[in-house]
Amino acid sequence: MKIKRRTALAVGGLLTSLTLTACGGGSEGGGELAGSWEEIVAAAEDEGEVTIYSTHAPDNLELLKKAFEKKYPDIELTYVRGTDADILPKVEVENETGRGAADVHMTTDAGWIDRSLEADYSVDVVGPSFDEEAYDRAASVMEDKWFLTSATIFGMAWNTDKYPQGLKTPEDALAPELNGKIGVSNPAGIPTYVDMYRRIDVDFGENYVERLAEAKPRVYQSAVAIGQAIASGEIWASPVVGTTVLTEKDAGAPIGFGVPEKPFGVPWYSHVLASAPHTNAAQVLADFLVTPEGQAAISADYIPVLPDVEGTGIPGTDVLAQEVDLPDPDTLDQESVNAYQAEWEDLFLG
Amino acid sequence: MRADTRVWRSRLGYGALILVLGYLIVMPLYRLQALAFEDGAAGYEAQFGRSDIGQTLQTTLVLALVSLVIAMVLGTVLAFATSRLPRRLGFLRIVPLLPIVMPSVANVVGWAFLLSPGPGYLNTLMRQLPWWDHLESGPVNVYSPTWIIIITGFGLTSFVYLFVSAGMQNIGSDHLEAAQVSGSSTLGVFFKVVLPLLRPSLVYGSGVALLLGLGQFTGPLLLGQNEGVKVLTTEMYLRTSESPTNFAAAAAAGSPLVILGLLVIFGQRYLLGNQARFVTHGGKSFAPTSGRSAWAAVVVAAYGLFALALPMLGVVIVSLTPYWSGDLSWDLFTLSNYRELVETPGILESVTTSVVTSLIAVAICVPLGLGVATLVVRGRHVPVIRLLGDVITALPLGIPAVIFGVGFLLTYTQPPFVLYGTRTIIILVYVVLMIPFATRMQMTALISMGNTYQEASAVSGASPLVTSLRVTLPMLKPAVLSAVALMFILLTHEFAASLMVRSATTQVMGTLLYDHWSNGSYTLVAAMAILMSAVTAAGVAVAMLVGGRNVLDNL
Repeated sequence: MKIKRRTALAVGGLLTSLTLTACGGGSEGGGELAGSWEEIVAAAEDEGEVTIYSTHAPDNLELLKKAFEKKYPDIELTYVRGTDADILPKVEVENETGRGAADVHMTTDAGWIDRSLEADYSVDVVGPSFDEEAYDRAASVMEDKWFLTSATIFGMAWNTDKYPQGLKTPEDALAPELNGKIGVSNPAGIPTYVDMYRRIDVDFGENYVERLAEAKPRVYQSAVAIGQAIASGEIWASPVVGTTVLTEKDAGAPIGFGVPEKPFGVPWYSHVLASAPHTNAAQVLADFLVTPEGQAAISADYIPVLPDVEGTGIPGTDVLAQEVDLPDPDTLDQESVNAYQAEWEDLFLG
Repeated sequence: MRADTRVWRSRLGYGALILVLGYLIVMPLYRLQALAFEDGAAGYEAQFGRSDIGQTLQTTLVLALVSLVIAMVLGTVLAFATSRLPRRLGFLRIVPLLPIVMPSVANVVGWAFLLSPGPGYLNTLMRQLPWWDHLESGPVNVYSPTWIIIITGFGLTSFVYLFVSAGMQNIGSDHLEAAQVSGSSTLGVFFKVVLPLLRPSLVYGSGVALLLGLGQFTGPLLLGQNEGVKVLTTEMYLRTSESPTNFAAAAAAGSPLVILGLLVIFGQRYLLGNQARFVTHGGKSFAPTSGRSAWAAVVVAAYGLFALALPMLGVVIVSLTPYWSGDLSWDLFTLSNYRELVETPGILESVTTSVVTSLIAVAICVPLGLGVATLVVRGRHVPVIRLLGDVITALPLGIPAVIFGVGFLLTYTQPPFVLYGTRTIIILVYVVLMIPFATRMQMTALISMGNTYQEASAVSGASPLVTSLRVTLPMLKPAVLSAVALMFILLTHEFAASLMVRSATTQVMGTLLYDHWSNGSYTLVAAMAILMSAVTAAGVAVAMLVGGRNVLDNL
């Protein structure tokens, strides 16, 4: 009998805990946006924290954290790095449930950006840096919501121990001695990679993708993972790898890197989420991202949105992120991406 | 009148318990199926209309069946070997259980570090051998289906061992001595006496291992993606990683596993039939088997080397290097990855989340499990509720964790309980996954206790409360502590369900490790794997301190 009573108590406790958690806790929506920029910054410091979801390189996000917290010591920045396949469903769920964890979101997925404008995922950005002449608001901000943040190009990389002759052109990656020893990214859930394969199929030579598949490449989840695999010697080379390999190179890994004549490039756009739990801090972070300090961090070894930021850009050129085109969203609708993915899997993994 | 009131109170109490468990366990499964059948079963069409679905189903079945064979053979041989260990090497009995303590995520990445075709350390060593010195990679490819199956089989061996060794301990030495006296060799004794007597344990063990194999997620996800190896559980994950999330297709992908899970559970009951045929205790003269076989120690040690020491060594080496490479030198060794553990955002928080959610789930599971165990053992006056309690709490054993993960994600991102992104949803899914263990282990203890002690206490004038506090609970203590230890170990490792219900900022150790693995941060992954193992080992050490050194034996 007593055991039954204790069971009932335990059940009651569990139900109470469920109810309490369902009613409160978590981060349901944000507060109100303060009036002037000074008031927004003050309110952001009161909020004390801000979170960004991004597909950018982890090392750059760490640099961003340090730079942001240096300028705003009262606001702690949390970053979550993942592929679009990891992050986009989470942003959608947070918006649907109103339980936002992210404040700012950064992506390269042109199709999703386009669809999100109709789904009210974003709020207008209000920071003063978006109006700086050097930023070129007209070329950099879409509908006052999505703002250009950074850009990258994909280069060729190789392990200098295993393949000292290196790659001079993407065609070199198809050399018979590299059969089974090159790496490519799986476009599953990542429309940017779908766009990449479509582009390199034209730019790297006739039927390049088909011939690439015949070289039996090893498949990775992201360009970042390919860089690590080249560093480890798990694969010897890749014709399309992110500039993050330069970080591994700096750490002493045996890596060579080169940029092909017609590299694939893609810009990152960011937006402040409507479900942001830290309404004001989100605006402060968004603004910081397009300042020279923010760019020095997020675009280190990448293509910046501002000119003359030390440590950014491609050595020997003054190319800016505004010159790297976002893919046409009409070519990246869900149906077309799914169809390409199936075709790609058949080719590479079938 | 008082008796009627008592019965009604009991019905209400147990009824409320079953309602809560029903909501937690059955509702997510129901909602998944309801969604899969929506719009003319669009979820089924989306998932089973894929051109590669035949291959996926085949890989799922082959993985489950072949890894089952490996686990059954190894588990049975190990159980026989540990029963023949020389007395002074008796401590080796714990070895086959230790792989359970090592997180499966850590184990899988450990094998990747050893057997990746290029820089894998074992592959690099094997390429020094004269007949492989011409190879530039390999000879083993850990990302191939064959090796995913072998690693899965190694992982399942411990679970089979658990069941078979329990059965082995119940075989009296008189049976074996009788066979030996009649001229049987060790092999003869094994095949003609031991195996037939082990049939109940083998049936249970094979059922559990088959279910675990069918629901295998970690190996195929971490190793298989490089070569397009797909099983139903990874398909469920991929459908929930699409934008927009396709819950209906994910639910449909899990349906064959739900059906097979139920078939295995019922199949086990049918196959076992009358269990009295397998009673081996000869009464008070029962003496367990023992032996002095040196081969037994070699077999157990070899298994420990392959299943535990080698993958752990791979993880340790990578955790001490600046980047993963097959070319090692003493100059490369560094502790910087461990410093990075502290500095990388979210890692320490994931440890706290893992430990806190696991402990709270265990704390909820123990009384809930006791409630259901009491209902099943002593609830003859509420037969319908009793049957429901028995069946509902058995479900999570038969249905893979990943299905509950997707079900919870779907159920708790909608009213009335919107729990997305909270630790609560992790705790609740952990409670569901562990309730079979909490229930079954306490049930076994209650059955073996019988009614005699309670009756003696009552006759001596003790109230039911005093009887519970001073007789029942102390006698249940070993079972409860074992259940707590097992649940804590399994939960701090939990990966499949956690990966579904975590949010980007509410992570447990396994899910964060997976994120870093996907990002290619191998050295950090290695350091995290060590951290995960250390957390679990600390939990086991605490359990041993509280429950005595035999707490793992009681598993």
